[in-house]
Amino acid sequence: MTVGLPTVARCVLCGGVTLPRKVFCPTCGSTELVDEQLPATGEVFSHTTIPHPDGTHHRIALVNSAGIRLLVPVGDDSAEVTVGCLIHIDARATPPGYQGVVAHGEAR
Amino acid sequence: MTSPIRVVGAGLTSFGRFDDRDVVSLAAEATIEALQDSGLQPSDVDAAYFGSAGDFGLGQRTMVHLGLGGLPIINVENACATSSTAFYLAQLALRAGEHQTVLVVGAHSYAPQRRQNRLGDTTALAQVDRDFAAGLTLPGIYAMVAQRHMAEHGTTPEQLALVSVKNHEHGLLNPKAQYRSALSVEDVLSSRVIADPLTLYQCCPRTDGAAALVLSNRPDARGPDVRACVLRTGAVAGAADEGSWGADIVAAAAAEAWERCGVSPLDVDVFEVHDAFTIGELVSYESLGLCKPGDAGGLVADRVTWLGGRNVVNASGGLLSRGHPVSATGAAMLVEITKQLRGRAGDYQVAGARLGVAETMGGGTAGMSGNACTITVLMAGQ
Repeated sequence: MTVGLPTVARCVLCGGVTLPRKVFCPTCGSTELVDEQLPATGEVFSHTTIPHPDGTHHRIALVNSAGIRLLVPVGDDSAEVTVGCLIHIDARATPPGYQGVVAHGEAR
Repeated sequence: MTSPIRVVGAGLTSFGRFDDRDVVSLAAEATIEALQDSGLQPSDVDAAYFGSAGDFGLGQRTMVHLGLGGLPIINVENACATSSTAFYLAQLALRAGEHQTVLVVGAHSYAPQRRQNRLGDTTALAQVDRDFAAGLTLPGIYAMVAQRHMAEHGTTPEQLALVSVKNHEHGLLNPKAQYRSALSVEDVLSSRVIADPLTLYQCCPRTDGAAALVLSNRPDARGPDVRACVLRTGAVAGAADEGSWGADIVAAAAAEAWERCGVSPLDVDVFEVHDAFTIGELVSYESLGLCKPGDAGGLVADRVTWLGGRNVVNASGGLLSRGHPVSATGAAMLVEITKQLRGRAGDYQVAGARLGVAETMGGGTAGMSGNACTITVLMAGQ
């Protein structure tokens, strides 16, 4: 499954970004919001590895990118993921069975 | 001046795995015990608030066994804070002058899920949730809080494990606890990994059980006084400048509770704290104000929160040892605090306990820093 990086909504009036997109800017109430692509790199806030009964496992990371916190399935098993490290976010690398990048948040 | 709201009766079933009992029989057992304990008649009850995450009509199906109809019966769901939210609503109704005596009950049974081999459903976030689709589980959320705490504050795996060691040591003294076995730090750390760094013995079990309380503000009411009861829902969140999941909502609820009744967390003799996972208890120490952010690992290592310490946390064994029947946990914590303040906690009694607090944390909804947190302050009655 190929998933693009999420787009955030940036407020034309106050500059705040929000995701998921809302009807009004949560900061100033404006309805003038434009879509903007998130950068493809971010800083790891935290991470975990979850083992499965069949001996396999999957990894996920919480990543801060441009003021938005992303939940990122880590597809590349050889990638070293530590708190504070920078990682490249490529939603096409999502491991099989999991869905792309999930993001929440607001930033100014 | 209005009369204080007092806990006049408390009832609690044993916690464990009861394949041959249904949720109504558990709820009825706790309810009857609480009513008998109160010395009141069933007809004195003005309204009943039932915590029930998934069992439709639990309140009505239980009350029919007690021969009680006609009165308002309200069924409440708020994740792990389900029956503490029922308690919150019940005390609000008393505070508003609407009723004089109300019943609060929480009950949960995993027997139907065990029969259908669907136990796994309860640890995953709702399947419609996008976080779940990305691979996040509830232990996974807490695991990421733990990874962050270790990296940011130097908290060690041994300190995390000590929470489980402590609560299992306490649970040995509680005849109603689900797991009554001593664990060493090594036992905890060598159990299988559920979500790195959390191992099996750092995760609470799924438990069948029920708890009930009778609250009253009648002039002749006797028992612990409900000094403050606060409910908060997490901020719509996720922004990069925020802390770990769930910490802010507990801190906000705690600050409001301390302000309302003018107490310091350091003065609280006994806490029941939401230790669904070991890291949950540690971050709660910080959010409750028992120590500075980052110092929680040292607090448990210094035995401040063990029986005999300054601020005893989870003398009953907590969720880790006593068990976690999701819908009953909040009410069970309040029953435990009530026992302590009445001096009736048996082998795990905190000597001279006057001030007690129950903190319940329910999670998690995608994009929200915790579903619901309740903090209730009880003070020993006259």
